[in-house]
Amino acid sequence: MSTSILFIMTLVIGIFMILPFWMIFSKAGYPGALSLTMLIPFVGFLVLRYLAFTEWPIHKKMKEAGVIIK
Amino acid sequence: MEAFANLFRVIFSPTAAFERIKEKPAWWVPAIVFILAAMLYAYISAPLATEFAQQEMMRQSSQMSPEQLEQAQQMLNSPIAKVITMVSTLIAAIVSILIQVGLLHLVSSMLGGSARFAVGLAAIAYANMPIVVQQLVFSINTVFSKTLVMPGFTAMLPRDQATSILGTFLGRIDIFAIWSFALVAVALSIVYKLSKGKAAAVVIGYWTAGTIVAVAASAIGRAVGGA
Repeated sequence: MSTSILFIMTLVIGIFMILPFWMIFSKAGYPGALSLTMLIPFVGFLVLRYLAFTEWPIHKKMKEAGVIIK
Repeated sequence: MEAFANLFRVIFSPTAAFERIKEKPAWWVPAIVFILAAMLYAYISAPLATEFAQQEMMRQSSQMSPEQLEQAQQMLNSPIAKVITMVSTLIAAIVSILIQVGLLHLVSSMLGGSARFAVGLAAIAYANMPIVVQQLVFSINTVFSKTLVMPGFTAMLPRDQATSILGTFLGRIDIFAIWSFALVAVALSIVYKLSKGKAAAVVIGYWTAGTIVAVAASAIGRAVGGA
């Protein structure tokens, strides 16, 4: 019984951990599936740095549409 | 019907298949087939995998107290363990395909490629059909031989070395995986409009990064486990 509780808790924590990243990636214009890379040590670290230091697709689209970003 | 035909077309005529997939990206068909194949193999191999895990545990039993050993054995043999195996396989299949597509989509976009995520998902899910063939071959082999099949060149090592660092590395050199990666390269060049050189570089980079992560995970696991 304790194994199943541990498994369900791991699942819930995993979803709880991934969900905000999914929202951030989606809002930036990247596929939300990239948030799942946070589950892989080092790969998640690199992807997060890429997200932080590059121009987001949503900003590119806004520039193309003539929206000024401050 | 077209989406189902593409499951076979991608094996016999990949270029034509990816041209069609680009027009009609029915990603759910290959995704469901991929997940079902993974779950079939997990179901068939579960008793042997449990036996293998028990042998591994006995091998490392010097680091466990008799109570810990008994508790771990009870956990492995419980019916809930089988349910957890199936649910874990389902989740792992979904997560692995999404991570693969997410990373390949990101790198392809960085190199100047362009495609909608759904199209990339469909193309790469179809490119995983050799893995479905692998799961079916492994399932048939397991049913008849009653032995756990080791992927790739891991089969050259003794069974107890399968989870070693060398075993993990050799497991990455697998004919079905290489076939699948070749299809991914074709998919990237057609769907993302990457040159063949760039598509091949993306796939080789992806394989190398995956191998480094797998080998590092194995090394850390063995260091923590003390094996």
